[in-house]
Formats: sequence, structure tokens, C-alpha cells
Amino acid sequence: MKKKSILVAASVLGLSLLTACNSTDNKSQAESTGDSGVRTIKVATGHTSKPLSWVDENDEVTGYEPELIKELDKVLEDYEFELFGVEDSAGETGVATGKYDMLAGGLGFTEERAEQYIIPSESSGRALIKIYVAEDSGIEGIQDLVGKKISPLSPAGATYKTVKDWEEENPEFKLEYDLADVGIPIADRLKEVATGKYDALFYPSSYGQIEIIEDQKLPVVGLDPVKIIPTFFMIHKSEENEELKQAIDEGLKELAEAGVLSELSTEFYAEDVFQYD
Amino acid sequence: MFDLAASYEMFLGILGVLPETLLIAITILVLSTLLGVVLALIQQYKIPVLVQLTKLFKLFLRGTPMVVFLYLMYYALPAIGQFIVTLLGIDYNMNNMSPLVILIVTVSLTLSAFQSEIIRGSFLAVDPGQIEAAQSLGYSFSQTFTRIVAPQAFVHAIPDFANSFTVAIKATSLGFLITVIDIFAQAKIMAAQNFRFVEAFMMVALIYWGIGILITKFSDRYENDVRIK
Repeated sequence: MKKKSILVAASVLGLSLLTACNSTDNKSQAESTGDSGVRTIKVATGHTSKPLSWVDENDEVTGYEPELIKELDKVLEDYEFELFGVEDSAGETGVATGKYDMLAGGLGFTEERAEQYIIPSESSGRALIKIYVAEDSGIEGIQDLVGKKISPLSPAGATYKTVKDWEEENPEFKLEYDLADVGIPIADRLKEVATGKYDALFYPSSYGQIEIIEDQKLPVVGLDPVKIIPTFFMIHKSEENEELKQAIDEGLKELAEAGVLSELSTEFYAEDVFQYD
Repeated sequence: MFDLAASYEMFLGILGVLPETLLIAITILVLSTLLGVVLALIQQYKIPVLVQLTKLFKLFLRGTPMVVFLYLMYYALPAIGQFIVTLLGIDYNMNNMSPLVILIVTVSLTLSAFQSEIIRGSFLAVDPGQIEAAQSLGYSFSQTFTRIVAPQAFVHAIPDFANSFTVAIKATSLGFLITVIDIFAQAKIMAAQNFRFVEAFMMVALIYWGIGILITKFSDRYENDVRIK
């Protein structure tokens, strides 16, 4: 008897898991073709990338990108946006496969991404790649980094690409660095610069560095950006999403003109990232 | 959206770092087994003080997720190393400690807790009659252990050791947090170049499956060969 009930419970659990996987797909399709006229867009965004996007203590997704999505939600009447905080690579994979309709991850434009996703014409923000060095290091720019210890770079993301592009354009300078997964928190990466474990750190400026350096009184400074990259939402490639792209473009234009983008930037990044344009 | 040509290229690229990954995993397996034998012997012969320490050590390691432990070691191991070399009066900056060392130490320690249980179990699985027979024939303690107990216990442990080896292979993927590049890290690096994450993850999964199958087949055959029928 007991064995039987365990078997039943297990198969119910298994079945419900299977249907759960299916039903989410069906739901998004049903919603997207619903008659109500309001389409729900599933938006994937980072869950630990404060202040770009993170999940706060109330389990709510917030940050520059999520708050921008919430602003878009107010402006675009035909759409409703639902936010999901997920791992970066899970977000990219999810938008490629259609699990999510859109990705708000502060990603830059690349040919490869343009092949895989629909990319809006209007950008949603700016990624600034900055070099962080010890205050007394005397390092003023990327060309001073030859022979210095550079903090490991993550292969995903624009930082690595920026450094590689620069190396290709300036073959007379040879930089040395290792690759590593994202994971060691930015606060610790900054501390490693302060203690001299590494001489310099390349990092997008959107991870709250200004706040961390002030809070922990680290003798570290961020140099002027080595690269300014407009960032975009990535939209799952499908016919019906072409309309979504246009709506996003209009919404972003409206918000940029109203100064909402600069306001959000100052709120979350402690500086207006659009000032370097 | 699935690009076969890109997948093939990735498969080859990932395969390129497979030997290194296997080498790291073998090192981990050997170190954790050696430490595991020591832990098992301490528990088997109930050596006072050490047996309590061993229990505490195992409790800590079995309860700590490997990734958490790796983070801790990333900060702690160079500091501990620095403390030791300073005590010894050697002038060396432990900030330069190789991340490979940190990874191998971390995974070996964690795995040793599990290895010691496997080893203890396989010691206990040896028929007590065998030990009595050896003693009646005048075998010394060390002779009994090396000629009678250890060879038979080893046969019992083979399938579990094969398991541990696959665990070690998969655990090396955590090393990319601290710049160690294994097959999964290579997949991530290659995917980041052309943003084909699905292909990269599929290819690396294929390789993991292939290794898993090979290890299982090999250990099954080896176990059959050495087990007395």
C-alpha cells in the first residue's frame, strides 16, 4: 500500500514537472496571441549584478535595467512586462530559445548577437569600460599597463572584447591577463587592486564601484572610460516580435527625451553615463 | 538556430583542453584517496583525539558546498600559506599562489571526506574470516593489511572510485571562477566569442557523457577482471 502511494506521488510529481515545462511555453504563446490586446513580455535580467539588476531582499527584481523596464511598462500600453532575475548565460540561452521574450542585461551590439536576436535601434543605456588602479600607481591609461598584473577578465561581456580589440589595434603593446568566470565579487576585485595583488582592473562601470570605493575607503580610482558602449535589450527572434521592437524603440525614445534614462543612471550608477557621449 | 559547423569547431576546441582536465581530475582523485585512506584508518582503529578531529573535519566538508569552499579557500589559502612561510622565515609573496593549487587542494579535501567513507565501507566488506585465516597462518598485522585486506577492499571500492573520478572531473569546472580553464570553461570562452551558448553547452555535455560512459565501461571491465569469481 505504502509502496503504491509513493509510486503514485512520484509519478504525479514527475508529470506535473513535465507539464509545468510545457505549460509555461503554451502560456506565453496563448498570452501573446490573446484577444485582450495586451501582450505579456517575459524579460530576463541579471539577478546579482547590483546596480545593473539584482533581486532585492523582498525578492523583487530592481536596478537600472529592471526600473527602465518598469518605466517602459508605464509608457507602452499594449504591453505588460514580467521580470525574471536569472544567471547571465541562462538569460542569453533563454532568449535564444524563446523561453524569454527579451533580455535586459546591458548588452552591447555585436554582429553575432544581431544574427541571433532582434536588437532595437534605440539603446537602453551605456556601458563604460573603465580601468581601476591604485591611487598612487601613476597609471593613466591602457598603454601604461604593459608588464603590469591585470585582474582576470571574464570571456563573456564587453570588457574582454574591448581589451582584445585594443590589443589588435595596438600590436606594439602586449598585455598579460588570465580569463576567469564571473563570480569573484567586484568589491573583492577592487580590494585586490588596493592590496596590490593586481595593478589594474578592467570593469564595466555599472557595478556600483563609486559606492564601494567610498564605503570601504579604498585607495582606488577609476580612470576615464576606455570605451563607451551603447547597450541594448535583446529580443527573441520571431515575426511577432518585430512589432515589439518598434514599440520598444518608441518607448525608449520618449523616455530618453524626458530625461528618465539620465535620472535612472544617476540614481543607480551615481553618475550620468550619457555624459561621455 | 543550431549551427552544426560552429558546433563541430567547438567540439574540437573543447577536446583540446580535455587532457589537462583529466590530469587535474586524476591528481584530485589520487590526493583525495590518499587522504581518504588516512581518515578511514583513523576511524577504523579509533585513534584517540584524531578520530574526533576526523569526524569534525568530515562533518564540515560534507556540509560545505564545493563552490562555497572554493571561495573561502581563494581568500584563505594564500593567507594561510603566507602565515606558514613567514613562520619559516621565507620571503615569498603568497599572492602569487597558483589558482590550480587552490582548486586541487579544495576539491581534494572535499572529496577525501567521501573517499574515506567509501574506503571504510570496503574495508568492512572484507570477510572477517579472511582476516582470521591470515592470523591463524601467522601473518603479521601489516602483512594481513597489505596482502589480504587491502587487495580485497580495493575490488569492492572500484565502482565508487569510478564515481568519484566523474565527480572530480565535473568539480574542476568550478575552477574557472579562479582562472583555471577546464573543458566547461573552454566551452564558455568559445561561446563568448560567437555567442553560441547552446551549441557550446551541448558539445561540452556530449564530452562529459562520453567520458562518463568510458569510465563506467572501463571500471566495470576492470572490476570483472580482478574480482574472484
